[in-house]
Amino acid sequence: MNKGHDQSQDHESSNTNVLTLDTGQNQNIEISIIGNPNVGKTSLFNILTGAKQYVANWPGVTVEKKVGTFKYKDATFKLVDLPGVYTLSSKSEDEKVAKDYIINKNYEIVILVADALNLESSMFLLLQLLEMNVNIILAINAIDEAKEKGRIIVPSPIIKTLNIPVVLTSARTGEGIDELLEVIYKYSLSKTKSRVKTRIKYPPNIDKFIQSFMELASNYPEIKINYSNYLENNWLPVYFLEFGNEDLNLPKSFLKELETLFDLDNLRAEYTKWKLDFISYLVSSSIINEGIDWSLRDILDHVLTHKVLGILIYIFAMFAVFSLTFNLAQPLSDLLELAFTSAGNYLSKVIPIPWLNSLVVEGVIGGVGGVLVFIPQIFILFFFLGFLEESGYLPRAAFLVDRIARSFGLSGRSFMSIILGFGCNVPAIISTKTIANKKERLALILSLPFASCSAKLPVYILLIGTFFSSNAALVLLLIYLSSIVLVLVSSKFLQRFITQSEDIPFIIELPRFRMPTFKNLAIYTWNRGKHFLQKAGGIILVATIIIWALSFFPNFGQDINSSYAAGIGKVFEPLTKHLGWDWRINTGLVFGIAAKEVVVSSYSTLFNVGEGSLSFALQNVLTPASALALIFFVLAYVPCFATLATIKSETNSWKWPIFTLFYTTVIAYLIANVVFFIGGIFI
Amino acid sequence: MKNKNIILLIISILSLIFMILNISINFFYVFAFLLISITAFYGFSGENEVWYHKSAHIMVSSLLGIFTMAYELLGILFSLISSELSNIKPNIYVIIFGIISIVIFIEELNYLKKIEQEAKRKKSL
Amino acid sequence: MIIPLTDLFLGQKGKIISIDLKEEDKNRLIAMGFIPGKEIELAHISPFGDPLVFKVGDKKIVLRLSEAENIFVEVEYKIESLFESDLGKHQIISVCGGHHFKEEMRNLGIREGKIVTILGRNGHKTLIEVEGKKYAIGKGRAQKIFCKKVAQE
Repeated sequence: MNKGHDQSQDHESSNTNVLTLDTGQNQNIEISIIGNPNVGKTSLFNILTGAKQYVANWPGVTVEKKVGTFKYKDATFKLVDLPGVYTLSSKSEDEKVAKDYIINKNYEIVILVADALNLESSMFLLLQLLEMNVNIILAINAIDEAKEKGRIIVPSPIIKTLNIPVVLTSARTGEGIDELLEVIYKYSLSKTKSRVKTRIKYPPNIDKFIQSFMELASNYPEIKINYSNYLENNWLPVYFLEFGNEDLNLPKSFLKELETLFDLDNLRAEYTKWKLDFISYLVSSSIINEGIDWSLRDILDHVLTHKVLGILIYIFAMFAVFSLTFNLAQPLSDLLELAFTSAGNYLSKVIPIPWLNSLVVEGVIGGVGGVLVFIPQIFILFFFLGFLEESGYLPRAAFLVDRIARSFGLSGRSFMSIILGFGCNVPAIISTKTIANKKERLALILSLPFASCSAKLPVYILLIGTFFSSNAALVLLLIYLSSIVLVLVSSKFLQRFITQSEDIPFIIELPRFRMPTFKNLAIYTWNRGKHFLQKAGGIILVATIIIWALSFFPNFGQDINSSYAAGIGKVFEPLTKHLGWDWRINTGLVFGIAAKEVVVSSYSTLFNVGEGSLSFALQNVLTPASALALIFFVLAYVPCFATLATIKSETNSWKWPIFTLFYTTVIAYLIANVVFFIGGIFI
Repeated sequence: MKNKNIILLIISILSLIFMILNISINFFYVFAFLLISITAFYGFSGENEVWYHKSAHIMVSSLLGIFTMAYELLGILFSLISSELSNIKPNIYVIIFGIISIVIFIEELNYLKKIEQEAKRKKSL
Repeated sequence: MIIPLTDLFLGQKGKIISIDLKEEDKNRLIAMGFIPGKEIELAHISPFGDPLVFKVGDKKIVLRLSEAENIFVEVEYKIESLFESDLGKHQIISVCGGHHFKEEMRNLGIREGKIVTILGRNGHKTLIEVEGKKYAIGKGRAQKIFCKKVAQE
């Protein structure tokens, strides 16, 4: 009875749909990919769209939905990649993004990607989507890994019981992708009315509840208005049963009336039990197990999570990454430097106009070139960080350090954001979206600028190479360790002043280990490195030209000591004189606010030397102790414009970026003084 | 491999010797060999925890050996790219140890696969 | 016997009975595979004792103590240290500690599988009987010896 009613409704509402599909086959048909974290959604997305989206072996990488397009036969599809979720409630930011998207129904089909080795946990999402009356194609992914473990998936029970198409795929080997495309094509072009909708058969008590709930709700006009998205296909009562009233906020009088009719706690228990039984029936009838419980993951984890060895291996991994970065990139940087120097020499002979000559040779080539020679370092750093992330090691690292992070009010998960922050603060701040705890998140966002980003690396490399070349790796390690400590202490400190409090459990998954593919690492490296290149192209070029202009005018480069730039630096000189920094050091720092890469290039402009002889110029100005103080000041002081803008967009307020501006400067100044004092004793 | 204690002993002693040989050459390798040695050494004790305890320590210490060799090879590769041929001084200890590690790792993996197959056979009987 | 997850011994398995957490946290855990009736194993312990890694099905999930202590499992027996155990007969499950300590205990007859009888307590000392001999074991040592209770015949 219920079924017939539903189908007729479908028929009416789908008339327009059918029309647009028949006439407009070349239009974009929107479909989306959803699934638990780490099941290979993004890999499938990349295969289907050919997009270069980086795939992480870490739960919760897709925070915002990403869009790509692909063509199959005569149809064009718009594919939306949703964040990885276990359920569709509104608990965390990523769940909310996914839920809002699903509810608004601007799509034709949802592809639910399930993990062949964890079919059970995908079933909850599958049932929830069916309850929302979504058109689903179930793609059971990683069947190659399942086969390796002796597990055979038989999809027919799922197909028959739930009436949905099921495809077995492997994003790694490409198995089943053609079939998936064919199913998407056929399913999206089939007339809506001919699709058989699934009705889930609930136990009689639940059915009764749903009916009474809907009848009751029809007396409340405000429910009809506010929850119109939920009312379709009776989803509201089911959602209410599963997740309670916390993010629904139904009217109190309505709830009271409902409570007089039903024992909600009992009903809830009955619903959960029904769901569990249904799922275990579905899964147990679809899996044939042949293997034994042996996995490389357990064997490696046995040592990687060991109380002594685990921590030592963690240090080994970090040491190796930073040491490789420093050693491998050096010869490449030397080559690039040579190229820029000879280009500068050539152009200085060719361009006759003095100011243009100065602009091009000192401003553009000296400035931008001075930053570009650090590209090898930055790309190599990302490559190896990508290796750690992609292999599945990082969640283990989070597990190892969670207890330490917690004493600073953070979770082990925040460590990933901090490590990303070593690449660039911008993606790191964006990645905090996956942190469900609001207090932790805000404190981390405001502390992440202390994570030493790759743009600061050129400054360190310059200063370390000049003053501490014999202990280069050690000093670099010290900087990065201090950076971690700073982020942690700062977030602990800031959390005292943030009043929002919420207690959300820290639950993460340890994924299987994977050997990262070179292609995936290359995409990862390129995406991260691109950030740097884009900045080098835009902000840095503008900033270096401004700096050049400030040092060239008003006296056309005759005397840099009376230029505008010197004026800015001199204003701050009284504050920094005791640290051994003269006005030129200060001026470079001021311009570094635009982008940290600019610090190095502005020094070569300010000292009026090429890249090669900048070291000698610095040695004449700074003592090792004041150079060390400078390194730590650069580590902590004001983040670049891009980071400030990200803080603004993530916190939705100008208050926080302005706070960051002052907060970081004060902290950096204090640290520089301490380092100078201690450095003076030891160096 | 049947005799795990001998393998663990070989790894820990060999890495200790190589650690000493590297002291004047490279701090990173000293740390790496020390870590490998400790990892192998921990394999001797605590066999009551899980059946794969010794295998796990053999596999992780040999993996660390392989990664250390990869580190060295990457260094050589990058000097080749920048054509600093005269500067190439391969750290022979790291490479010898890496090759031994690869052999040990593959042997151990095959051994574990054999155990799995045997268990499967027993199960099907 | 029903115990919280935190009382599981490393490698011990239990059957999930109930999850006493907020509704939404509970649902999240269920969706991640913490399904009542399923077998769960304590797989790893962090170097600092917290968090813990549990294995449910093919999944490995990290949980903090604060959550794990509200999830209850049914086990055949509870493993406790000699220091915490009640009086009576116990079977030794594991002796933790250095090589030297293990050797020393082995000489006393305390090793895996052996039955010991806890006779009583004297301050921080635990009085036990093994193979007909009686010993008093200090707190620090007793805490390194883990055993399960044996049903009285």
